[in-house]
Amino acid sequence: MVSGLSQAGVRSVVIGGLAARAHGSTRITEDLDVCYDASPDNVRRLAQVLASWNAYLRGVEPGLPFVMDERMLRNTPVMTLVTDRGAIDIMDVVAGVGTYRDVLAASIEVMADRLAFRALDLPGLLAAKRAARRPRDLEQIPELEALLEMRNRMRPG
Amino acid sequence: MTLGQFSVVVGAPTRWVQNAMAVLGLPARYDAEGARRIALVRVVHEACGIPLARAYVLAGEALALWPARTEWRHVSEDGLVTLSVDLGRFLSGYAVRLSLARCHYAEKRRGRQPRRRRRGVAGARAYGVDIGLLEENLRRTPAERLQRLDADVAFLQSLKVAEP
Repeated sequence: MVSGLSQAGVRSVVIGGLAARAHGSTRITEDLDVCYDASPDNVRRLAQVLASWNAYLRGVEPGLPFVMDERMLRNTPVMTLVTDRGAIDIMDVVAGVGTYRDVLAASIEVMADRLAFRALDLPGLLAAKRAARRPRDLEQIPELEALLEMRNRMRPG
Repeated sequence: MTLGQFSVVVGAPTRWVQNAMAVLGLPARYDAEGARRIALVRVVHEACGIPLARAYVLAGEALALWPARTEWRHVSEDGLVTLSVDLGRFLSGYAVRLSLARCHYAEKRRGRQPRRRRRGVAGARAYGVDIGLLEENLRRTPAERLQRLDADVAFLQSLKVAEP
């Protein structure tokens, strides 16, 4: 999915479990969380690629009316979706970090299988988890804090 | 469904939902169908300034038309103003919020958090995190960590398939 978004020219940063895993977390995540640039051209491309993956809403009964287009994304910029390629959560703002521009500034490049993508850095992930204040986010904080300390020890200064 | 989830589905702050339900004399019963109607009440009320009680009646009439009709029109008594609602698009937005309420929403932990005496590695160890696993992961490249994630997910899915 990361590769598909990139190929479609969608500007986005990987956040959440996959980013944490890239930083060394041991937690298993089955969905991709991304923060996207909410500029009109990018929203249009994101809507197109999600529609081509037959995106539908996660956790709701099949058959409900659902239009995946640019207008819908502008009205409801946060969505939890399931697609032909897997589950994906999309948002234009990350609590505790900010809009796409802030998230991008707090991201690092990750190289995996000849694919380069941006992932939120550890301090950004920690800020997001603290701001979300949901029990499932708060319980990940000790591991992320440990990773940050261990990484800083490995790379002094 | 909790009040918080109900408010997500309506697309309004919790306080607005509570006030609207009190004005309408509705019992504090939170379900998806009720949220759908209150969501349309909010749209009609905020877009046109129609009082909540009248908007509640109109929302009921509009939703009763779906799926036979995809658009609902209401003409004012003097015939000067026509209100039109794209029911498909309204219900699509409602479905997005219903999905968020079910999959994304969780009650935030309120109040001051219990202060952890230790942070970092010591805090994580006290919390029960396996530091050895983290050290092992940090010796890998990000690509190797993500490959292991793929393997873990595949293993989990094989377990799910094997469930009776």
